[in-house]
Amino acid sequence: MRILPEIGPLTKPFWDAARCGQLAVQECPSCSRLQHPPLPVCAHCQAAPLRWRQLDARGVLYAFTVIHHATHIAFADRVPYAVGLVEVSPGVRVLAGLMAGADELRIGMPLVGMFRCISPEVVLIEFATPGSDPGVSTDPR
Amino acid sequence: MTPVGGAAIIGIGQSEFGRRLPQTDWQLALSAISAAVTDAGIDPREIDGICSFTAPFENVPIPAIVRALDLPELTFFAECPLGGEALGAALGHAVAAIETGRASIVLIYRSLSQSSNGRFGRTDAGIAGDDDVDVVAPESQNLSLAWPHGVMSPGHQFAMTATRYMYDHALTFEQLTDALCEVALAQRRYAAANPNAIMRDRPLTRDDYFEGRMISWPLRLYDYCLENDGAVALVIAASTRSRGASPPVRILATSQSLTPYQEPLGFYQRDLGSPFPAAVAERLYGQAGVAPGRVRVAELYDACTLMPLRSLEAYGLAKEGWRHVQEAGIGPDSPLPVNTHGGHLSEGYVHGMNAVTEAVRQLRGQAATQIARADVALVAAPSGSAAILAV
Repeated sequence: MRILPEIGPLTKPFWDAARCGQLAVQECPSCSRLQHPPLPVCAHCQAAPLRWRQLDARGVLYAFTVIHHATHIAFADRVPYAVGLVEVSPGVRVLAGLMAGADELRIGMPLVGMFRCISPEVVLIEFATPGSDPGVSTDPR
Repeated sequence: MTPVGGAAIIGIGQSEFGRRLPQTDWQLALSAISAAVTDAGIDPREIDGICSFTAPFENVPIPAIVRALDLPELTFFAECPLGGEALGAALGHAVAAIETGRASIVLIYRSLSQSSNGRFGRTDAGIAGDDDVDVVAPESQNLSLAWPHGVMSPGHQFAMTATRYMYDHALTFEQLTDALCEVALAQRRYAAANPNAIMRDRPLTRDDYFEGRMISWPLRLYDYCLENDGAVALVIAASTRSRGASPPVRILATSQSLTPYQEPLGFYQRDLGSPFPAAVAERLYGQAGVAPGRVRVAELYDACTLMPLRSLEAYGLAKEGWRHVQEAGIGPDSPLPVNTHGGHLSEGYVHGMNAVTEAVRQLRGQAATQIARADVALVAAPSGSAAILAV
């Protein structure tokens, strides 16, 4: 059993980019602000439609946890696993898996994005400490 | 002290709290309502207003209560969204309805049967399938951006908030968990004296706390609240309507607050370390006409041990919550006793509403661990949802 995202109209460009090993977030065509998660309008100036901007898959750790107790059977064989919020542009954060343990993780540390394929259609962005080998893993779990 | 109006809590009631109780959530709600109505000394058919939490938090709809009590007519009914946000909102709606004449006696109820309707700490209940069938996380509420990473429970968000709290206060894991342990132990001691507490016969030691298994680092087993069945009901009316044996408890002020992504599993709020805008506490105390220092007892929403630390700070009761709980303490002899019933950690989890009943008992002088001179109480959630009550 896997937990896959519904790829709906609002988030499809995000998932399309991830499938190509890229991180993309919404950009306002009027005020150029970036935002994530996607919204129907720019939260700052209400402009729509929004375009998508590809970002460097790099960021800074904003908050994290290491989950030891699975709350869903789909993750029973994954524990412990780290997840966190990674700031990829000022004020823009992405929720993602982290390839590190609690003793390696420090808020404010730089991280680089990696892409893990979990189904033919779905690639998840995950972050690792710099120096880890970035790239697209094609290992379906 | 000038109350905003004459609205008061004139009756409180609760069902049994426990795990896997035989009653349905509807039965539990009616049992709590019956107790509250008796406590208020009113005929249930005098109820003309009802306020509840929204589904999926509250699974007993208002019409089910109207039907079971055979109420002649509700002239006011309202639902409050977002779980812990609803505590201050429900009281606020009731006060507003009474002050504007929309209703004269408003019932508030909250009933949970986590054993039959699913636990907040398990995500399988609603979406389990067999091993060969994938689960699809809906795009709605950004769940599709969280579930595939295994981020599925409010407890995961609490843990991320905890790492942010450590960062903001420059705390080590040991410093944070020493403080959290104090909260868990102090509340368990209160529960030992509380005949309604689920954990009344389960003493907790410091060793037990640190041996508790890690759930979501840095939070361990005893950092998280109970998941249980139980219901609470409140009767709100002008204080002159009170015909019960106990004095009415005045509602001096209520607050609610919502900023972007502050909802449960919101994650993306601008500052994860700041629970709500500072203006919320200013509004609350300003409306009540009391200063934070006037609060004699605080019942602080505690889905995890971190929350009371943050509320102590955000409601102006302590500069550094983590230091305060260790140096001043929160026990019965401390300057400000907190969660005197054992809270959600050790009495039972009824979504903030059993904090209201405990505050009322304290103000009436009827609490299991009675705090001396308890005449002003704060009931508050780290979402900015709160009330100040007084006798």
